[in-house]
Amino acid sequence: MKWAFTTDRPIYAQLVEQMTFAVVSGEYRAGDKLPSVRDLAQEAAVNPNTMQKALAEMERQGMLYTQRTAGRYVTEDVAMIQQIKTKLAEQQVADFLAQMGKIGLTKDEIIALIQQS
Amino acid sequence: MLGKLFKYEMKSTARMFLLMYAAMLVVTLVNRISYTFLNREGPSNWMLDTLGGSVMLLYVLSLAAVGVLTMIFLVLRFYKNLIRAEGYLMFTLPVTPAQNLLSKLFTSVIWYFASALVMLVSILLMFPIGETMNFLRAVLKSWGEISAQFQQVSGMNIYALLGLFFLTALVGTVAFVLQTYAAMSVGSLANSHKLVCSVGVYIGIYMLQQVIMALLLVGFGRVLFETDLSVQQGFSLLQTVLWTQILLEAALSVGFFLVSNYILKRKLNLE
Amino acid sequence: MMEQQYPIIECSSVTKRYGSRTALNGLNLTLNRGRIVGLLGPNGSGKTTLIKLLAGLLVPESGNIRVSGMPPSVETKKIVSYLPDKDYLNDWMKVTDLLAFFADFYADFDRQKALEMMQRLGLNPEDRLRSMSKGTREKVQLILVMSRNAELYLLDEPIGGVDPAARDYILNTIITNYSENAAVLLSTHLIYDIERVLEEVVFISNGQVMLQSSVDEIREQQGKSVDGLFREVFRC
Repeated sequence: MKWAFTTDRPIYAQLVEQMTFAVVSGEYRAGDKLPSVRDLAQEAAVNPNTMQKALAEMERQGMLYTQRTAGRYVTEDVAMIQQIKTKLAEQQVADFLAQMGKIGLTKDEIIALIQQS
Repeated sequence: MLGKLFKYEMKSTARMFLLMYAAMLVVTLVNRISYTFLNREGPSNWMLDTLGGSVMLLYVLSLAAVGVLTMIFLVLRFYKNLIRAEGYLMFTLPVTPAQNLLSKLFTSVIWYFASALVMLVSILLMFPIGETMNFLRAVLKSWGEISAQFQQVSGMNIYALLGLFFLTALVGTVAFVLQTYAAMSVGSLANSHKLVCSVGVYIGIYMLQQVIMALLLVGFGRVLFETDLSVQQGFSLLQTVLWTQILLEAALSVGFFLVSNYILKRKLNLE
Repeated sequence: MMEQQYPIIECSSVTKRYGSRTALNGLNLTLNRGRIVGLLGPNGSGKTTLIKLLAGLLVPESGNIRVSGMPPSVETKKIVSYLPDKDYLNDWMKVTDLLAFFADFYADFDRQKALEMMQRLGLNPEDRLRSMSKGTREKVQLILVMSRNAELYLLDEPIGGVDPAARDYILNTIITNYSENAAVLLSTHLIYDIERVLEEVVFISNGQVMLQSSVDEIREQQGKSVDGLFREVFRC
């Protein structure tokens, strides 16, 4: 997984985003066990406590859950993951359309462009 | 912890000394062979004589070198390990500065005595082994008689005298080593050229000692020249002199140790 | 809930002078365990002096220093693992010698772990420090320090002057070594590369603490990275 960070926002917030993306894109599927906090922190080259904060936030949101002795898992709620996936996609489309609008294309021109590629 | 430091110190210094002692042994044997071979009967040959003389000279210089090198090596060892970069390691170990000082002191004293022993053995080896062994055996055989005679003539127990000599040598060595440590500790306070400053401090302490010694000797000298002493009184005086020296050197040792310990504990400033 | 433990570091009104120069001027600082903290400041700000005081290599003119509730002493040296900013080991020592030495003097030294880490670098037990490249030697020094199960790790400029690969190795080692009971205090003036690994930063300037905050707080409140803030604050 490729971790990229910008400098102006809290790292834990960026971790939440990137982990969420990993879940909706299927890198971590519903019910999958996550690596330990330390391993994830190592992979992302971030502070373990910051990673812990991000994962705790995702737990709060319901994307992850902890099983006492076994570890952290991705939620089994497939519907929820789908919802988030859809929302993310919708956001991307909205951004895309806004950008296309700035360039000056009509909706039909955009659709034609998409069908061509 | 002190035991560990001492062990480590001995291990770190052993290689150098054993190599030096081995080299000294080789030089001794070479000189011995040269001396024996060249001392044969026969027409004298100026080339061989010069060679023999050179070898002897080399031998004598080597003998002196053992003493000098021992001193230089041990002083530099202290300096490199405690005052230079290795000090970052030694002073962050869970040990006190006193333990660092003592481990090096014990090690140094051992090597000084070892070097002296090597020098003595080397000199003995210059004589035909057979004769030396005979001489030693004869001494051992008549030891009882020798000690009794000695007791009678000098009024002193020979063991007591030998013990006194040994104690003087021991305390003297300890004081010498601690003096170098104190000098290096004080020298380390300088911002630059620490080693040069250490040498300067050492010379300063040495000069001070010489002045005090001279003053004391005047006092003793008076006694020596103005009275006629019997042998027994002479030995008695000798004991007094040696005991005085031992006590003075012991006091100096304590002083040097306290100075070194204080500086290393509270004024340490590694580069 | 864990019982109350001493903060790992407590400095109050610490002053340290070198002759006429004042390096630390009434410095106050408290650090808790379980953190990786960056000590940031320009050259001459007092970073190395503070670290040496905590390591027990310097004695302050005035003020109080406590490491895990104790003043710097033999007892604190047992729980503090210090990496100086220089070559401080005897060149002639072999890897085995170093491991034996550390294991002998430090009860918390994990010899097996250190050996494995060195072997992963491609080192042999018989290799001497002299024969290693500068980068490898620095990694060896780091491995020895991080292989102790200490309560406080003091790293003085651990990534200064190393290539990016070595830097990643060092940061990775620090992350993997993380423990809730311990704290890592590392000093650096190269913040950009290290920011993500830090949880908290302490800005030090002219011998005093200017700022102490978590990295995320700075980003949230200031809208810029710690590196950005640092450049702003210490603009010449």
